[in-house]
Amino acid sequence: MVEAIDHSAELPLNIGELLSRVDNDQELLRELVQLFKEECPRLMKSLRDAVSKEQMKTLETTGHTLKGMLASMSATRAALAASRLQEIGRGGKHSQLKEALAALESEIAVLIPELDACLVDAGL
Amino acid sequence: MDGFTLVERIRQKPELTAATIMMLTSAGHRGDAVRCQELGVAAYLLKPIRQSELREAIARPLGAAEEKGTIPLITRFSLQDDRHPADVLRVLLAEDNLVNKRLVTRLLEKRGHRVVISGNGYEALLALEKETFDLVFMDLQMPEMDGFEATAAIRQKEKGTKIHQEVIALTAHAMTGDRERCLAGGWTVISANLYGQWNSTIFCRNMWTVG
Repeated sequence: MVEAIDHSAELPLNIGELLSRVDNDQELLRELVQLFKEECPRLMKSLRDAVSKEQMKTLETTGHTLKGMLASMSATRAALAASRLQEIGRGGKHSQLKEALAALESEIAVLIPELDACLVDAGL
Repeated sequence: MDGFTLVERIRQKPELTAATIMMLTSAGHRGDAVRCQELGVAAYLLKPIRQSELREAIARPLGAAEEKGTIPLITRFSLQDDRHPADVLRVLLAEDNLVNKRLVTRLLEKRGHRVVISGNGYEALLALEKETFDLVFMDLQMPEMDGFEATAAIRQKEKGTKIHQEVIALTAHAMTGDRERCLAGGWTVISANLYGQWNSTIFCRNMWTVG
């Protein structure tokens, strides 16, 4: 038997899962996207500062917060990238700090237009 | 011409007397509801209005069209208050993440439940001392005091009593080991692997009801 392969986790944004999570409520979707877009730059700035100053505790806590937000937005790839920074903050390899931050930055850069497009598709 | 003047004009036209009128406003003013009632307005609702509220606000006056006597004005509050008390859960949400707070709160409120928010486990314990809750939704990792520690404190306090607070571990993204940690902490996992489903009474993904 050939099993269906779910490629949704490979996409920057799993729109189907996100819509299901918000109960197909487009107003709630808009609210969450707006809130995420307000919060994300603040958290990213905090992560950049934590990386440049090697503040591991901040890296762990902020990485965790952003990971949770991204997971709720069904952005699994970016959530995993944030999780990697969280793990480094918890005692992982310092040598991978900048690389992990760059990976997260690039995931976020792809995600934001996807979220905007998702609102346009939903007619919001 | 504002909305009230328009309604007054409509009411003066005999051919429009049977019209069901609902008022929508983005800023409520003192006395508006009384004026609506006097003008025979069926519903007075604040914008932005949620789709479900609008649907219910439309359905009620239409359904009540054949009833006799004065029909009370429908407002955002009356829509919530009219639910059967047994259907309304008092929920404590312990969550530090703003997006998750908004998501879970809205989903619960849409179903008519009342939500109190705590930003961490410590605040959740304080809230539980002040009032009783039917359910606690607990994020696993939070600053100050995490969900594991807070739930352990709840269980410790319950020892020797018949009280049992329902606590539901809440995570949008289950990390390896979390479930095992719940089990190791003496929490009974009674509902697992709900990923992808929305339960009709409990509204999150990846949750474990922990005893």
